[in-house]
Amino acid sequence: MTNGDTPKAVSRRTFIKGVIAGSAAVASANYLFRASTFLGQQPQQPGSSTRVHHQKLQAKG
Amino acid sequence: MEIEERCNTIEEGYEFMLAYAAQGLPSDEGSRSGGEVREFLNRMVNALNGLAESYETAVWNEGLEPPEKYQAFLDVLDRDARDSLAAIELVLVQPAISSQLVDNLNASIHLRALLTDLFLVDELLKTQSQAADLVAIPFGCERLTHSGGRTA
Repeated sequence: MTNGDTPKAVSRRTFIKGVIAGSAAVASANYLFRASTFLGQQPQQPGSSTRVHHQKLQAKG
Repeated sequence: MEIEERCNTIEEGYEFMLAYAAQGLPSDEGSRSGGEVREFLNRMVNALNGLAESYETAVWNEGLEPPEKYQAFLDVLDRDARDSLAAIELVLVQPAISSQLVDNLNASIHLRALLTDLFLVDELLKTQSQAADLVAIPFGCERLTHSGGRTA
């Protein structure tokens, strides 16, 4: 009979736990990365350029 | 089905699905692993049906204390098993099972919760057994029969 403590079973569980925990870490990293990218791209948001330009014109007036 | 077999089937199935997801297959037809994916998923369905009940019987037969704490966690296990079953059966009724579909199944929080439940309860059972019985016969997922008795 196989035993749950055999190296194969243990390594498989370690592997699966790594997949589960690893992807969670990657997902968190992606979330942070996307947040900073989003902030960096703020001037390119739809309408943002127009708004900035419009504000400049108003300031001149 | 014995608890040992249930655990192995679920873990093997998940391991296979990880590999299947990485192959980029558009469908389960026309490839060797594609032919196997439904087989693995069906085995997982069989292993999930009655999983919590098997553990309940084992905990009861082993007289693990305090029983109410075990029961509370086995209720969690039961819910996660049912949720996982729903996700797997949904995939099984699809006409084509792509790698992308399986990748999303692998990412399902329900399957992941189930697997981590199994790892936890298996470790607990082994620890309890070793504490209660100085005869070092590790059990848990691998050493419990369906009726809860030891097979060693």
